[in-house]
Amino acid sequence: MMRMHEILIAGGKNAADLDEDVARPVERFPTRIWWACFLSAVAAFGLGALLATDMFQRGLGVLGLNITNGWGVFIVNFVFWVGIGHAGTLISAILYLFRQRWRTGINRTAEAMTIFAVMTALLFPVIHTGRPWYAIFWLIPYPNERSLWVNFRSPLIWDVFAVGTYFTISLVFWFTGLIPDLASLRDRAKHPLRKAVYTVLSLGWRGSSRNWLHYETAYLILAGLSTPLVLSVHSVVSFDFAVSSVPGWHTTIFPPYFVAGAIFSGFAMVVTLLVITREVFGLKDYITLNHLEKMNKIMLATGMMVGYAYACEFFIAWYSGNAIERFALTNRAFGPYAWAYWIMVACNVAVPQIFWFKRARRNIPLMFIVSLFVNIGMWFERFVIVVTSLHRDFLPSSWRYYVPTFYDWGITLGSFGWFFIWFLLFVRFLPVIAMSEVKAVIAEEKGDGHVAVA
Amino acid sequence: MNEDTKLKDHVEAREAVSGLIQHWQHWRGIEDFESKVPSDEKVTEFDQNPFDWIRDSTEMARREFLTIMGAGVAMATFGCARRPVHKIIPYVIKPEEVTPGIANWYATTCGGCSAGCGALVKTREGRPIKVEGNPKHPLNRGALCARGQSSIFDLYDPDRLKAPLAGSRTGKRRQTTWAEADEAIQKRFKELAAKKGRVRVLSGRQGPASRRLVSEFLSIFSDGEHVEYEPLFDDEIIEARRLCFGHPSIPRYRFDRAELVISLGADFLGTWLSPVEFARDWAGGRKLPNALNGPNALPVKATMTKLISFEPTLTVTGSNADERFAIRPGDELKIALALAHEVVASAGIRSGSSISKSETLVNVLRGYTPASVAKEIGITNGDLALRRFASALVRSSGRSLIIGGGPQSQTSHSLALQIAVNLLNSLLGNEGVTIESDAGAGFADRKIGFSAVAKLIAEMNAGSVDALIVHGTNPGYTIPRLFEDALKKVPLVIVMSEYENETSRHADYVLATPHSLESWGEAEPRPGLRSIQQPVIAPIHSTRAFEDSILLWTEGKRPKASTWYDYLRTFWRNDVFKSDRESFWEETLRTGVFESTPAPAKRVEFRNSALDRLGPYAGTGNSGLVFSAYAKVSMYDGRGANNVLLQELPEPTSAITWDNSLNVAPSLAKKLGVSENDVLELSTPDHAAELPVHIQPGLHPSVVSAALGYGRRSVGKIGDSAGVDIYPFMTVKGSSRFYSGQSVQLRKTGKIYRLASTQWHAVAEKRPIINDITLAQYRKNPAASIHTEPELRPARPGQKLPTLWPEHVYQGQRWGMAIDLNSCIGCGSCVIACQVENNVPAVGRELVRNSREMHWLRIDRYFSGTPERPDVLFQPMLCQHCGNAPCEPVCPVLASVHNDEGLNLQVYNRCVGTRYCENNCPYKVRRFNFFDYWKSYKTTMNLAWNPDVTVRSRGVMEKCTFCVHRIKGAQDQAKDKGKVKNGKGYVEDGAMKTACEQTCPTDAIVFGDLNDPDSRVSKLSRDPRAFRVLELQNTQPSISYLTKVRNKDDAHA
Repeated sequence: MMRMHEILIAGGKNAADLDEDVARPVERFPTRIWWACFLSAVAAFGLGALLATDMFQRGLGVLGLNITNGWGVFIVNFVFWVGIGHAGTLISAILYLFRQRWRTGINRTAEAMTIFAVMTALLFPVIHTGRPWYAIFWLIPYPNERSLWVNFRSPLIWDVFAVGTYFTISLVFWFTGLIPDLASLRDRAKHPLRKAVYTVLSLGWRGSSRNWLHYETAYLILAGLSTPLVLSVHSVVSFDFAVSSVPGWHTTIFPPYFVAGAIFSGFAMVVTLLVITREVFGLKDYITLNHLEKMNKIMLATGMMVGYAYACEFFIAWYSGNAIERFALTNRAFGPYAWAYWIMVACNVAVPQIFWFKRARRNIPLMFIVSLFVNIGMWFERFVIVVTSLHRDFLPSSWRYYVPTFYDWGITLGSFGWFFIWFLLFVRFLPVIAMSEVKAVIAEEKGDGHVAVA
Repeated sequence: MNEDTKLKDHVEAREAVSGLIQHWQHWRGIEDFESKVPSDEKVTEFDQNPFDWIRDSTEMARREFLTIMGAGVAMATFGCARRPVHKIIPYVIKPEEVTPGIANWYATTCGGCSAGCGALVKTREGRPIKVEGNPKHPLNRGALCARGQSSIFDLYDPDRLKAPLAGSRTGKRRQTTWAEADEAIQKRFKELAAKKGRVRVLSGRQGPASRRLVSEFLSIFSDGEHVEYEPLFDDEIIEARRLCFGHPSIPRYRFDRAELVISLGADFLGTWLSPVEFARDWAGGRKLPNALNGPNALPVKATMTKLISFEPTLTVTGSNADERFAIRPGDELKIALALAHEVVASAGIRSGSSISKSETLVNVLRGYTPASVAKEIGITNGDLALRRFASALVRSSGRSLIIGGGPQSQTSHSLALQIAVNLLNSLLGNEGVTIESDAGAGFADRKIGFSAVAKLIAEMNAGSVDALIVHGTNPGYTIPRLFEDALKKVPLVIVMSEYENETSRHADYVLATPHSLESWGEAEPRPGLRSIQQPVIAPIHSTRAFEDSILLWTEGKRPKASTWYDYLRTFWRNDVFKSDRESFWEETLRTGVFESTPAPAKRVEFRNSALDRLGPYAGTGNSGLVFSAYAKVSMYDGRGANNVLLQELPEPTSAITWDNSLNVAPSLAKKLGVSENDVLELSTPDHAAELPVHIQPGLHPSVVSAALGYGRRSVGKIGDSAGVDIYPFMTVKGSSRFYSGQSVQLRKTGKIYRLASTQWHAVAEKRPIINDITLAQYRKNPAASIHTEPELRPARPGQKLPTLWPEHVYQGQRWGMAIDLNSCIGCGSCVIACQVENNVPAVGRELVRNSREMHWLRIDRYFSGTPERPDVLFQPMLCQHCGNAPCEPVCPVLASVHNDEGLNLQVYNRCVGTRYCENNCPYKVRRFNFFDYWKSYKTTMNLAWNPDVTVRSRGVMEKCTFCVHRIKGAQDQAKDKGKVKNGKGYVEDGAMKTACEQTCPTDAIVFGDLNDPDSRVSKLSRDPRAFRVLELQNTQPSISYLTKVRNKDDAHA
């Protein structure tokens, strides 16, 4: 059989090796590295939870927000984490539909990351409100005896639906993909409790062709459902800004710009996580340099899209002839928050240019560093959008400066802790590689002709 | 109707209804279709008594049983969970005048300062909640300043003295009882009376009855004197009038009659003498022709009172001047004499004036040529300006007014300045026209001012004062060191005060006095005008009025007078009404004011002998740094230092709250290499203090200024931590004191102190926010707009832009506002009025630093021109109640909604605090409750809340409501009177005022119905000067602003 692309599984692994390699970390007692990571994550989350509890008791005044800057680091974090999730959906759904078989090595991790990122993101819109104990109910339209309803004109309500749908579909899609692998784990399990848990989770999977037929159909449908979400979710998130009247927010470029940025940041996060995972769990044969190089290419492409958007914003501001709009953009690059703007440009536009070189794309330490830079840069992109637009809007009398406090940073750190707690539990209890899908690729690469219908 | 017919009717009705239900599909008439069943016969689930089911049914159906059981269980369950019932005690016998929920208003006199404005106090269920200006009072005519508005908070201040204190001056104080204190004090006084002791009473400015009472008390002793002292009062005015006209007095300044005002330092719009009265009069002469004051008035012929100001620091008055010059304190005299030089030299002077021919005058003025004076005081082209002003003065002879004074201009030249001012006004024939001489008793027999205090201090130091009673003034703070040292030599010091203060720390007895809203009193703002002060609440604490104490201690000497109230009433009957008719007293209590026909204004003739006090011209040549101390609108002389509202009121010119700053000119800051918030040490040979720098445009490059009234040492939790005391920089020379003009040194300390400012950026960046034009431009085109980018303005006036959502329809009344920027002087009364009315909390210095102040109404100030000579513009900014409001569509929970009267409503109960509305508000007028601010309102402070307005919890957004509770109240009243439109009470134009509008001394704010084409606000919003802020954003604000017009001479615009 003719190979359309380079080898995706290295080391001449067969299906049994695969089962062994992937299931090993799940079946043995966690390593010290895992415990160290896990405890650090718990500590970070603990700090954030402690600060958040204090914030709930005293009020949002503990944060750096002020009258002019109604939104700050929490909304930055929300957009950042929602954005991160996009890579997972793109890899699992769009690449699936386009028959990109290289996705198989990385899709499980990417999808898991999506779910945990959205779970992290969802914390922020709730805790950033003045009265979260009401916000958590009142933003959801439910019939009630007082005939109170939500405002469907508000982009925040669109957010509730967009992100809610996104989370639900992603979770179902991910779980559907897990079923055959969970069955494998069930079959390998020796401990009765372990066996019982995986038995329940694998929903009675028997691996029959009838099972596979239903599975493949369901998977295809879910992939189809997920695909528009890649575009819709971050478009809707961008409406939070684009629908408003704040100069610097009120632009039509925001939806595509946000989607490109989301995929960009998502891929950067996937690279960060995969580089660690393949190293720690010895999965280098399944998550190969070829996979990573493809991801780096996407980062290069989306990074340039984002760079184009930065330039385009300036052009439109100038072209519009609106002095307030022009000021908003000039203020971004040369105002009091110029430092944040140039961090953003350096990390998101300049640094990924190194991926024009093949050697750079295939250099593990380098791509790890670049991916971290992109993560930082994309966080700052949202910071620049949220903070620098707000701090100097229409009336100069209200121009202020926003400085996040210890609470802002502590709770942000806590959100990373929260994300990594879930991620570490995932690598501990679930197969990080879609075994059943990779088996199909092994079969294909070995040329035995038995190719799973995909 | 007997029981049987009742039952029969009932059954018939039920049958009719059930028939109706059965034939529901086939309606017999439109009544059926609309289910017009008589309402009391409507079939409802509660139609029948549930117990009838049980009684009537011989056997209960299973379902019914279950229904009742279920309901019973549910009721029992929820009954247990119900929160405890708090019982309130209702009136057993309701006071005749009190109706719960309805406010009572009482007329009294404002106790905010000694100006004596009339006040109306709103009380709810016997509890004063707001002080407003008395519209019937000739002085303030309904308006009140920020200090007056905030005085309600002093009443409820938890730091007030709650009982009399006694104790040694060094040791611990102890609370005592009135009986105990009286016994001890009376014993001391008896001894003093017997052994010819010398007793002194030192007080603030007192009313006539109080003065007489004190003199009666002092007559017990062989040597008794009453001294009055107001720290910021210009004693020189009285003395100069004695020298110039032979009659010591404070004249009545008639700004309403002046068409040209030149102020030499006097901040008459903010802090000088009677600012509310002056602001009202002055603004009246600046109203431009509009639909309200005559539809036929043409802009082409518009005239305005012109204000020219020379002042050492930028005050409210200077900010509103058409032409303002920054000078060094002390140079006012030279300017006045240079003007006099030109006036005398010009031929146009009134021939009747004999002064101009005086030899002495010619000799004095010889050196004061505009050229030499302008050169010395450092005004570019100043000689031209001075000549221009002089000829303008001559043109406006008899219709101009020159004033001078105030702490910022108080130097060793102050007396000479007042003489020069009198000279100028006399030369120009203003005396008797724009200045009405006081023909009353005046001040001849009163020991008033610093010279009297200086004499008292000398006596105290000599050990010749046996007892001192201090009341209503705080010399321990305002005359630091000097007075404090002297106090130590007085054997008996009694301080009567509302608070512990710097003086009371040296007292043997500190007797708690009531707030002005708790006690009787009076004021005589000008001869013939008497203002009554009546208590509106019984004293909250164990306090006793100064006069009651004095009365008590006078006993034995005079027939037993029961109370100060009786004394006052008798005094008014004999001396004011000169009639026994009870109705006089009752009518005065109702209106708050009694105006007797004043004695005809005295014709005064300038005495040339006064000119001896003016020296010939001598250039000082001193170019070193000089200091100027000034009074802020909020803090005044420091008496309101423990008032949170005043502490948090931004200074109009600097926007700084909670602290005073060392103001330096931008060029001086550059020269010194300092920036905002750097702490500098300010020192004279006598005193040094560290102050944070504020870079203030409009200052002379060799002047630094700082506000008085800060750095209180013992007043309470709020005042003690705020700012730096400037009084110790006061220079005392003989019997005069000067706040300004000292040579000072500055030294960098390397420290930084962040001033809490509410506005960081003071330039409008050519945005369509404000508009100011000159009078000449206005005459040509009243709609001119010169300072904004043309593309940010609508292509044509009233241009209709598309909206995303359907536009609102207002069938009844639509509320709107018009704010005349030409009238607004930025004084801040509206800010405080709004805060008191709407329970808007003060948040404290730290949160203001973090820009979380809660003011629903703020005053933005913008500078244009050069940093040396800035033009200042004040703009009250509040919720614009947009027709196409950006805040409304973005709220996810519909907490920000629009009503059919054009109001943007904020539903606090529904708000979850996403702050999206705040981000999307282009005007940034929404305020977020970052904390539970109400929790900081302790004990008595809780009595100050307005019960008509919700107190907001944390996490909730709030903003200006256009005083919606007042609108609803007015609608209810209109409905009661039968004026109904669209099912709502129809509020006549002007029948209801918002809190800010009500208190505005210059009538800059007009509120009303935009749907009524004849309402004042509609007319003003159609004025050619009217514009909407950020009109191109298409927010369709309900507030129109009217362009500010500056009366600059065309060539010097």
